[in-house]
Amino acid sequence: MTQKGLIQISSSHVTLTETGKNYALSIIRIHRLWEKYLSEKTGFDKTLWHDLAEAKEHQLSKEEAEALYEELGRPRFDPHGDPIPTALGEMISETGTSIVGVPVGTVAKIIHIEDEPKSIYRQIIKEKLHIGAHIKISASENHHVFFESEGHSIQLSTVVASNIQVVLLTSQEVYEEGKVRLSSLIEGEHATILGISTECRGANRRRLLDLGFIKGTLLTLEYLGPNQNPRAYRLRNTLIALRNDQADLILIEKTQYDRTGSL
Amino acid sequence: MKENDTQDLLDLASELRWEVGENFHDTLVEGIYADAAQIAQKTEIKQGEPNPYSFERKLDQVLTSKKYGFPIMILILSIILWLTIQGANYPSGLLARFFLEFLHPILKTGASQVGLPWWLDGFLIDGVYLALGWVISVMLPPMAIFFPMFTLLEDFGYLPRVAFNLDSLFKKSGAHGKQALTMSMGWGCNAAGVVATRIIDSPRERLIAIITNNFSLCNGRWPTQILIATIFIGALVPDSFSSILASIAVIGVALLGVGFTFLSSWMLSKTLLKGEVSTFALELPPYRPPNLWTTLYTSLIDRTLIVLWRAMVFAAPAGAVIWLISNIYVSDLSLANITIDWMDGFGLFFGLNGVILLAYVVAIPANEIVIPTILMLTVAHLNLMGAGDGVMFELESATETAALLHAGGWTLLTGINLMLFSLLHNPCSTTIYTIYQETKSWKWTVFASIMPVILGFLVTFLVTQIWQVFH
Amino acid sequence: MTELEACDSCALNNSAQLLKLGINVDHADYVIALAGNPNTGKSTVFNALTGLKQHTGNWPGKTVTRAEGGYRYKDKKMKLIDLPGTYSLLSTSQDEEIARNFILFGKPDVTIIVVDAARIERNLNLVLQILEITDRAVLCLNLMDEALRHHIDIDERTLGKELGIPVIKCSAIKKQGIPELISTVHQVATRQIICKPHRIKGLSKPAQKMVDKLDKKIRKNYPGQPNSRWIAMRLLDADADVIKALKNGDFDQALT
Ligand SMILES: Nc1nc2c(ncn2[C@@H]2O[C@H](COP(=O)(O)OP(=O)(O)OP(=O)(O)O)[C@@H](O)[C@H]2O)c(=O)[nH]1
Ligand SMILES: [Mg+2]
Repeated sequence: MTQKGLIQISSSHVTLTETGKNYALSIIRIHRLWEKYLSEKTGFDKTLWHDLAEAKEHQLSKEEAEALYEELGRPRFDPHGDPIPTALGEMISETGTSIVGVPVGTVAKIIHIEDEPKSIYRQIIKEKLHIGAHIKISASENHHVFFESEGHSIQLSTVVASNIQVVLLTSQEVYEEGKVRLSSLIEGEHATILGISTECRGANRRRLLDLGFIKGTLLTLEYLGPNQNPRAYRLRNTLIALRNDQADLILIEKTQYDRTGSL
Repeated sequence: MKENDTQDLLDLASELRWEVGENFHDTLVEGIYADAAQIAQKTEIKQGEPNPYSFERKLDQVLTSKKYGFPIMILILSIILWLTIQGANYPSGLLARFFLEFLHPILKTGASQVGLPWWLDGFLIDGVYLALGWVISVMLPPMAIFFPMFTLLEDFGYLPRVAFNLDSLFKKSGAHGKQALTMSMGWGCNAAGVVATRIIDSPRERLIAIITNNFSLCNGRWPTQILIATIFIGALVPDSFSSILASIAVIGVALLGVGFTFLSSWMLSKTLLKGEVSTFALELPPYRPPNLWTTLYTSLIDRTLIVLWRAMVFAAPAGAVIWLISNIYVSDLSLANITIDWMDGFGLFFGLNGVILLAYVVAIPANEIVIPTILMLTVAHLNLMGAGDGVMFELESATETAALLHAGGWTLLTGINLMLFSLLHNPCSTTIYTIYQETKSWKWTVFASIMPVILGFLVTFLVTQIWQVFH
Repeated sequence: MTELEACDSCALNNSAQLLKLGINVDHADYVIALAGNPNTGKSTVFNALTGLKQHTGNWPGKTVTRAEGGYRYKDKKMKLIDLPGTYSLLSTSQDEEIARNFILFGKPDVTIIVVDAARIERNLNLVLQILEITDRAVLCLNLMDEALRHHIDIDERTLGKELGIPVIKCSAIKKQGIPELISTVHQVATRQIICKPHRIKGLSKPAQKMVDKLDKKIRKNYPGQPNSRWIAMRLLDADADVIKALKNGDFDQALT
């Protein structure tokens, strides 16, 4: 690497040269673009993204990377919430704090989930936590953090939790107490859609939007399939069946009365 | 339009896109729906009852319930199959008698009076004509029963409920719930089933549905199943039970096909087809009272006749080939016999025989000519007095057919393995062509054609091994 | 519906001028597309107009390829195109590609938008998108019999005013409303009726501003482009197809 002029070895430490920094940034760019691509256009499980991107980041030429960037609509963030450096090597920095230090009672929004090491990442994914999810810290002990998110109570060890970064909600964002996942609706119950989680992307998200799963829509859970999955929802006078993992990504507020009949 | 102007425009667009944020798509859809809601509110006039869909809701709750969902599905399938099997029997025999016993001799006499040379007469009348006659008498009646019944269910709105019920199983195997729809289309015709996979909106699941559609027994294969089940399995019990046991055996094979659909979908989604976009959303339309007469008319005239026509186009040359290989001799033995002897050893290894294997090669164009080819080749091979070399025919009754097959060395094992192999072998040439049309990929076309054959040999081999342990 | 039934018989003069041409569609004067959500009866309308027997069935996605047929009305020969159903023109999903591309780039003379009268709000999503692209369309308010059975009626005059296009109530399966549909399509095709299609208004203020800005630029670059606003929205959404079409110069023809 010294020969390529990417790093400089001085007496005490190794530093990146200017060229090296640019090179590193361009690799990061490709890595994050590829993760973005995997999340939008493929069905690979998110625990696999990192390794696939790791393999890809050295294969893609600059031109290919730019073509990809165009195809993806010039994205700014990768699916983990990390900024994608521009071709000129600029990078927006949005700083969050680890969830661990946040005082009890605070409401915040997840902006970053570290995907390494993998064992920890898996634990976070298992709780269905995702970028953009609102959380409310309910308690914190020496080794654990307790918080609410989308109607679920979650407990994480501090080691795991420290891989989640959050920011405080802006003035326009409100933490909704009654915000739960569509999958928690019981047969015959009614609800209003609050939104689709940012975790639902690409073709999946577009299809749901096209079908009318948008903010403010009223719906009813009409009946369940023989194995409780999929489930048939009535909205705008139409029955649409969704699988439960999709319903996990739609956020709702339960309502008392059936207003779907009146559209 | 100058190029830099376009580039300018695109640059401005990306700049604005940067400003407007990544969820412009959401904003756009929400905006459109907001307009839609406003207009709908102004123009919709509701009268009377607030809950007009309660009947449909009740019906749905039964048809998709944990308790009745699956039993009702299997019951409906069984009734349709049973009616098809039973109902097709008589008209099939009638048609066969007309084409093969009545018209065939007349044509032969006519030909000899006109003075056609023997080879042309044989090639045209014993080859091409008989193949066509057989395809019509075997295919037309079951299709004329199966398609209208299926269309009635379809118009009523039951099919999406089947997809809904089966989705959890398909999900477990990594496939799309709508594959249930394409699978049931495949019970009519695999080529139609493959085209129907276009309703599956995610490429990965669509490919899975295309590749596995062949595991749905198609029209051309039902007769093989029914005949062999009657001869070898129905015969195991007293006469009064034999047709029920035969029906059960056929339904068993059909369900086995469903099982293989799940299994191979699962294996594909774990190996070759890992990770491509998958979405699921199934609209369940309202139940609609079907229009009986229109349904009967359209399904008979369009579907049935179109499928029949296609089968005939393929059967005609196949008949010619059968006649030719039975009548071209290489030092005393016909080509057919040479090939059969050559394939016999290989066939017996899988509990089949050379006749069956050759029949499957000859019948690549259309599955429906498997049985007549088998019978004809058996006769030719044994040098029995049949209707003459290379003449496709149907024996008067199942007992006679049984006698012939037993003379050809067939056992219960051969029968069972033939039923299995008829389920698990390459798709017909129309389907292969359709698969290529739909996937535009040689790789997947070849895979979809070969994979079932390999599976077929594997299964028949295993069955043979197990059989030999017990005998 | 009684009104329509009465029309059915009095509109005999209509029917007399109709000649179903089946698949004989060479040298057509006008190209008419049938668009709409899945399972709204497009193929049924197609069959009623052309006398053909396209497959219909009560599940979304019955039609998967585009079909062509024709009819003659008042010495104008119409080529009718039955398209697969589509929920939206905004997506990139493969199953909707045929319909989407034809509606966007096929330039039909008239688009018949078939909607389910009992589910109008949901269907309007697609209607409003199509109206951004074309200014010659007719709304076929199909399945009226079913809607009425479920106690839903539609004020078609208000709807027509809101959308800026003619609205015809139909029950395609009973051939009700078909004569009116035929003569209205003819009038729109021959410009006896000029549509003034609805434009999407529900966007948020900032989004609207961006669209306007880009729209202005497009109109400067492509004067006379009728769907500039739509192109603007698609560009903001990074629609790869539209970007490609722009680069290939597919929109240049709109100049003429
Ligand atoms: N009661 C009633 N049923 C109708 C009417 N029009 C169509 N149908 C039925 O509605 C169902 C759908 O009709 P299709 O013509 O196949 O609908 P499509 O819009 O072509 O559907 P796709 O091809 O799937 O997009 C069929 O079962 C028709 O018989 C109508 O006016 N009244
Ligand atoms: Mg159709």
